[in-house]
Amino acid sequence: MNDRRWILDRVHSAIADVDRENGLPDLSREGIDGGIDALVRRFTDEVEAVSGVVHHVADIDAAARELDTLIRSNQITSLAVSRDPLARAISSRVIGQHEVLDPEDNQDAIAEADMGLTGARLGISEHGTLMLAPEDDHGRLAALLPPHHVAILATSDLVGTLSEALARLGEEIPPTITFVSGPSRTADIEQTLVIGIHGPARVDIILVDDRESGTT
Amino acid sequence: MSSIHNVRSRHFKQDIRSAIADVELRGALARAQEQVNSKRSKAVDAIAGDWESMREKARSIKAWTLEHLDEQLELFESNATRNGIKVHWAKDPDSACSLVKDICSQADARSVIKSKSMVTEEIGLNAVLEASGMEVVESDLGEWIVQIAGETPSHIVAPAIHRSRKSVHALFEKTLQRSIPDDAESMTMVAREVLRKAFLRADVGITGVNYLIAETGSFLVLENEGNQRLTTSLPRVHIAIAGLEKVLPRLADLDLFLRMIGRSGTGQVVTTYQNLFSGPKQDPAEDGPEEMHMVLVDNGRSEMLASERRRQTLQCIRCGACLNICPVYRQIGGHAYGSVYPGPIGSIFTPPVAGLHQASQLPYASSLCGACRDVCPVKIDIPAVLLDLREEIAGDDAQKRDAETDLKVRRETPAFRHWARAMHSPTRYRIAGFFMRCAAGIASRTTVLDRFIPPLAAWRSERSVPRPEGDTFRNRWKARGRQAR
Ligand code: SF4
Repeated sequence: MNDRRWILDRVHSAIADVDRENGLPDLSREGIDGGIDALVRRFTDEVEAVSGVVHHVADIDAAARELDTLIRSNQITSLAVSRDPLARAISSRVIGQHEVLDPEDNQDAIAEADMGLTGARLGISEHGTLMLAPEDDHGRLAALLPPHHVAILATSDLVGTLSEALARLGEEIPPTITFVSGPSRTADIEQTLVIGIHGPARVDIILVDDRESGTT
Repeated sequence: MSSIHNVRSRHFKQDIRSAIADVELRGALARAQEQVNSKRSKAVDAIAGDWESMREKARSIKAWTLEHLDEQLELFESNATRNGIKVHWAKDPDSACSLVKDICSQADARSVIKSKSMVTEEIGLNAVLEASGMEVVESDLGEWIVQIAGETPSHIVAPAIHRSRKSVHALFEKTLQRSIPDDAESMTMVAREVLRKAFLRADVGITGVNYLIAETGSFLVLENEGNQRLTTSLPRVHIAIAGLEKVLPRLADLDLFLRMIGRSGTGQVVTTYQNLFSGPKQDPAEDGPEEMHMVLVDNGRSEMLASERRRQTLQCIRCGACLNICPVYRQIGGHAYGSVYPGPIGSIFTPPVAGLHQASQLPYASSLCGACRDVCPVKIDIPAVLLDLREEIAGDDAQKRDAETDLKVRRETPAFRHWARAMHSPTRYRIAGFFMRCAAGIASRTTVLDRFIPPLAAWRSERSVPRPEGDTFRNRWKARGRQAR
């Protein structure tokens, strides 16, 4: 408490003579024109620009087929699935040899999984960003520990910019929000880009079109 | 008392000599700078129409916040507290380190994992935690490299920028006692494997902060590797440490700053991960930290705030662009500056925090070319602050400079006084110019004089004297006037 008073007093007297009139600049700006199609196109391009992959599919069945292909082609033996209802629904349609881990399974097991499957709160088209809120069942560890992250996102959850994403949050801000743009990367050894260090080395996004069916 | 951990900027002059002699270092720096700068220009050019207005907005938001810092800090504190974050205040490094140490001891921490944080380097946190028996592991790849090498970071964004791949490879093999392929990818994977274990055993995770959001009591931390997500997901306790100046007033301000900092720092459109924290986990069944602490560090910042000319130093968002563009940094690298904050930003931040006499040589480590000011995303006029510091350092109070700078000041002051006098009238200028030309003509042809006039020798040791060629500018100008008539 001592330091608090000391600091605040000094900060206060440091700026006591400053004229505090001027306001903050308005930061509002244009979003992305062209409706869902434009958002999908931009999202796909931007995710690819940061070494991720978008699979745009028509419905949940197609999403399950896409996931099945990803599991087979990458020889996945264990899949950690978050509590997200959409992710659960899709993973339950995939019959394979792989073991399925729940968030209740212990941390070490999830760390050993080859793939993590989660939902996402929103996608931000401008920078190909996924917005994850672990407390919304997006699986903090499933999206982080396995080397391959697959996220399920509905097209109705795409927004243009970070501003719009933050505005959608409203007053209720979850304790943790992670914005993810592509796989983990580093260039700390001689500026050489290496994809995949501490976080996932691969990020696939299954983008489920929910315009007509309203399935999600 | 404000201070910077292990500052050795008084040895600047010796240290630049060895840095310049290090050919490998200069090669590594030149390559790195070229690569980062070209990526940065591409990323900035892509939004060229907007960049200047974005800079102006970012500058004005930061300036506004500093002018309202007392209110903004209190607002952050009350909102963060409501979110369940425990907010602590530390006036100097001692106070900050003992606060963190106490939180760790209360959590019975034996192992602490850290993600990159310059303020923890500034306050010397690792040494304090290690002295009380805790294991401290840096998890950012570059930070880990410098940690196992027993070095300090040489760049605020790319800590191991001074090291070649070969030297990192040798370091890894020696430290881990096994043979490792020498390509960057294999080495990175080895680091992943070693550090993953450290994450899983850590009791406390420590991070820095990029932005404190006053309006919501949240804070945001940026990264590319995912080590910071792990640092804040696996351990039971998360401690974040921030300089007082990190505040942004509104959540919506992030939209602007996040579009700028990646482009500016590494040439990325945005960093891979942006983590926004607004409190510990609410549901015990969830993953994530049970306790979240925020330590707000002053360490000389409130004093800087009081100076109208230096206040802008606190606008810095630590993007590193000024280091990447600086011709001096390019030649000598980060270590020679002798401070955890090297380069142009370091030369204006270190002296007021460490004490002018500790770092009086740094404000002179610049040709005042202004490249740093032009590149800075928040428009800090770094050369102006350097001049302000030089003015104070060269003033009447010799306590404000080290012996090296004192010698320089005592030698240069009379010379500049004469020069000022000479500039006073055209006749005096002409006469002074005549003598200078004669002197330069002789000095450029011989080194004999140096032996008799020691100050000249000191000056000559770093520069070559230009040899005057042909007629003077004034005579040529006159001749031109005659011709024209
Ligand atoms: S002074 Fe400006 S350019 Fe340098 S690190 Fe700070 S924000 Fe970046």
